[in-house]
Amino acid sequence: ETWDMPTPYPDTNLHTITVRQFAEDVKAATNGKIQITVHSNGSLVKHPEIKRAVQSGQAQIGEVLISSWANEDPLYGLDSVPFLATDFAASKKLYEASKPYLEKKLERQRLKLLYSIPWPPQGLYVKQEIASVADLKGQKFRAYNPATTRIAELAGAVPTKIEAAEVSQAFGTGIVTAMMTSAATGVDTKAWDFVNVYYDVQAWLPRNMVFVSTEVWKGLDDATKKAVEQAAAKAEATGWTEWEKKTAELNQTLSGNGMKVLTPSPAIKDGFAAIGKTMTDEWTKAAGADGEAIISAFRK
Amino acid sequence: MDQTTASIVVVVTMLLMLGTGIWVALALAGVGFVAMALFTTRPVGMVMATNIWGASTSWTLTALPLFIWMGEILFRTRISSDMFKGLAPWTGWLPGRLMHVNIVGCTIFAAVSGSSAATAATIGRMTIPELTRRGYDPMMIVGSLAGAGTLGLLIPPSIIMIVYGVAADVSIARLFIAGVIPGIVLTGLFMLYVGGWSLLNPDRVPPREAHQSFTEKIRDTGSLIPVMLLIAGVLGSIYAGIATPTEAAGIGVLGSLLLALVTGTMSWATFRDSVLGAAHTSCMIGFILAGAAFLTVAMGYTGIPRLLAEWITSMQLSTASLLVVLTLFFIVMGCFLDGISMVVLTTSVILPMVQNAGIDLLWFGIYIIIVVEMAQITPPVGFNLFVLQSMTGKNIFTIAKASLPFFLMMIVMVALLWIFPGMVSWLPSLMIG
Amino acid sequence: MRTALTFLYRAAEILGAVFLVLIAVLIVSQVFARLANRMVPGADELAGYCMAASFFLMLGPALRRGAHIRVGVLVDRLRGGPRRVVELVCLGFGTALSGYFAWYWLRMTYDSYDFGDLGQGVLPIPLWIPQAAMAVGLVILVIAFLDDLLAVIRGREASYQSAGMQSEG
Ligand code: NA
Ligand code: NA
Repeated sequence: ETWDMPTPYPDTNLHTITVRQFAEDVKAATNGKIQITVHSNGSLVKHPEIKRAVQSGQAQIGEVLISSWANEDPLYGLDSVPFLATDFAASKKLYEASKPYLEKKLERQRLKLLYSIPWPPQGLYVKQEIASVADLKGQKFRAYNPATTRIAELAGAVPTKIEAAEVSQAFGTGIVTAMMTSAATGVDTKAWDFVNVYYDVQAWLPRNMVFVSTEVWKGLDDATKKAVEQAAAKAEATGWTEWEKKTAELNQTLSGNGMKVLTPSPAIKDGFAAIGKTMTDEWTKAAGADGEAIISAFRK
Repeated sequence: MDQTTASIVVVVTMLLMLGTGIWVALALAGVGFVAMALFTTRPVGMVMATNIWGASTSWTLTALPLFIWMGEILFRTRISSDMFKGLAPWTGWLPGRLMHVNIVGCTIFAAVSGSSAATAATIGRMTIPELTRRGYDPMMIVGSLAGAGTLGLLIPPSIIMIVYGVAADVSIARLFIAGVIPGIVLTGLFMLYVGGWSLLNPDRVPPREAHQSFTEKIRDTGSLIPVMLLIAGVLGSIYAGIATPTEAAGIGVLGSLLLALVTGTMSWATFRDSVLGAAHTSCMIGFILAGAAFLTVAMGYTGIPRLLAEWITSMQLSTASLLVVLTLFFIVMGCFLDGISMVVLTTSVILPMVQNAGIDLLWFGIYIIIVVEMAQITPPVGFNLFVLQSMTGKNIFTIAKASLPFFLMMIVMVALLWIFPGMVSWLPSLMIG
Repeated sequence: MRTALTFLYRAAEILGAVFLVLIAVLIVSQVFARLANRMVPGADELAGYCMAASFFLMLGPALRRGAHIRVGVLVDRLRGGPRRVVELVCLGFGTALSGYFAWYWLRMTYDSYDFGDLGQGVLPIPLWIPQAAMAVGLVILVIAFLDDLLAVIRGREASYQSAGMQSEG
């Protein structure tokens, strides 16, 4: 059978490359029984509708950025709690701690988790260098969801809503002056064309997840299930190592194109750590008992 | 069922439905329905609902109804007729005279609006009644509007450039800047055609308006001030960092309302009529956009555009013949699909091929935008044709015929782009970094 | 019955117009809020929902005013019986497809309500609210199609045939 797989990111993105490899592996491992057609870059289903599309049988399998659904359940917002898990190892640990809960949550929504891969750590893009978080006061900080709005508020910045499509122009004309996103997105959007300074603050590592519809999954025989799971495990392992390898390279691409790539000073780090502490507490409160269990498992 | 049969079924269904007189939006959705029902196993109704929900709530689209409203306000006040009064003294010597207002108006408006339909609708709302009243050739009025309206895509800001930039991994800032010179050159080509046609058909151009003294000219020029203020305000709001291009539409509405109030041409009745008129027109366009969005996703499920593009890849063409074949491919596809859909559905296959052929992706971006501009004015599915049909009541084939010369000018533009690639690369090369 | 329908179309039209004005109000207030270092939470999403609500609520009234365009090369040349047949085909198709679409739209709206789907932006708006507004518009469109279908069956002209270019003011 042929599966349609809508994914949100363009073909050059490492997540899409991993997905395409996964599709080939599945085809090989199932002897062509499952053929996945990858529809990248939102060409079949736009990102906000991908989850619903898989739930309702419009597509069999799909990829999304987990934190886009954070409004629905705090669990989906765990990976984007800032300054909680700030490198690949910690992010992996956080993922392992939350995985049973994530699987259970998805199961209830008629989805089966196949694999989850992070983005590189989120850094701070600013027009001018800052000495401490206090320098963000009054700056126009790009906010696109409740978490980024909260960061802006806690930093004393003005949360400013700008859609992804308008980011470069908004920086160019000064509508926004600061944003947090990964070096990968910075390279994808050619951030050097509109912003000068990048702080590698390693705020959080957002993750994508690939899921398949439970109904489709139930219809597979055990051998096929196993083959798909193995391909997924391989994709997950490759994805984690590839992104980690690529992170240093991405920072170099930024600086190679004339951006100042800086390691944050202790003052900046402390300021963000305080914001992180507040937001972790707020997240744990919102996520209730499960949230506390996840955080304590993570901190063990 | 193979792809050729599927393509033929899709095209025949579309021609049948449109030909019967089924409303365009429903015909597009109907073709999508037939294609999905015949060639896929997916739940059609669910796909339709989900996809149209996503397409009709998009933030960048909000500029469209607002710009249309702005056009309705200006049309109902004296501002648009004042604009012509102010321009008339200065265009008398030019072959084609005020007809150029359509083209230059669209070019200026294109610097504010990222959409082709909004450009044609807003400028057309102001110019069609005035130019008709002054006796200009009706075919030339709609043709130049349909053609020049497409500049909304080429002159930044541009929605389609953002779509292409993300897909092709090309800097959107560079694409925007790269579009400026080709946009001006294409404007020049359009004006050249209007001028040439007017010289050859002097009997179809209204006589020159009465000679005026210099002071009279200056006095009439004063009536340009309101509209100049409005243009400066809207453009300024973008470039001064007050508003994003999408928000600029809101500033445009606010500005026109203020102007209308200040000049005393706004009453409750004109306000009410402007809102109702704008809501009807936007609904018409929005409905067609929704139908087109569903047709696009149906095509994505059937895989027809992707397979056609793969077929071109398999031909292993040289760079020049590749571009000729691609141009033909996009022109044919552009007759049936809207431009943005075409780009979205085929880039995954076409871009690697283009890169292998050694074509610069920035150049290709500008090229593909001009080709998409052509799709706006080719029947049966061309958004500018729909907009102008709704404004003039002429049928889309008449409008397409009137736009044909401008379509040909765009082909000339593609050739020029091929001969002088510097038109694209020069301005971006001046960018720092 | 006729009075009730006229009222329904008129109400949809007025609501559609109000939502159009709301788009402008939201966007302009977002611009001014930013100038004052403030934020209107969810203004972008709300503007998008207002636009969709305006589009959909206008669908029925726009049909009756003849604002929805069609390729009229054939239809406009026909008179009498043949014209009636073609109009019946078009209206039948319109009723069927809009009915089908409205049915799935209602299902999606119910699912959004059932699943508790929320918007992804700064303001977590339950998606069933804007979807329900759009559903109302779609149902009115189906009613408008049926209304005209019945009229043509009874040998009268469809509303849009006599409407001309009314919306052109
Ligand atoms: Na533009
Ligand atoms: Na076309």
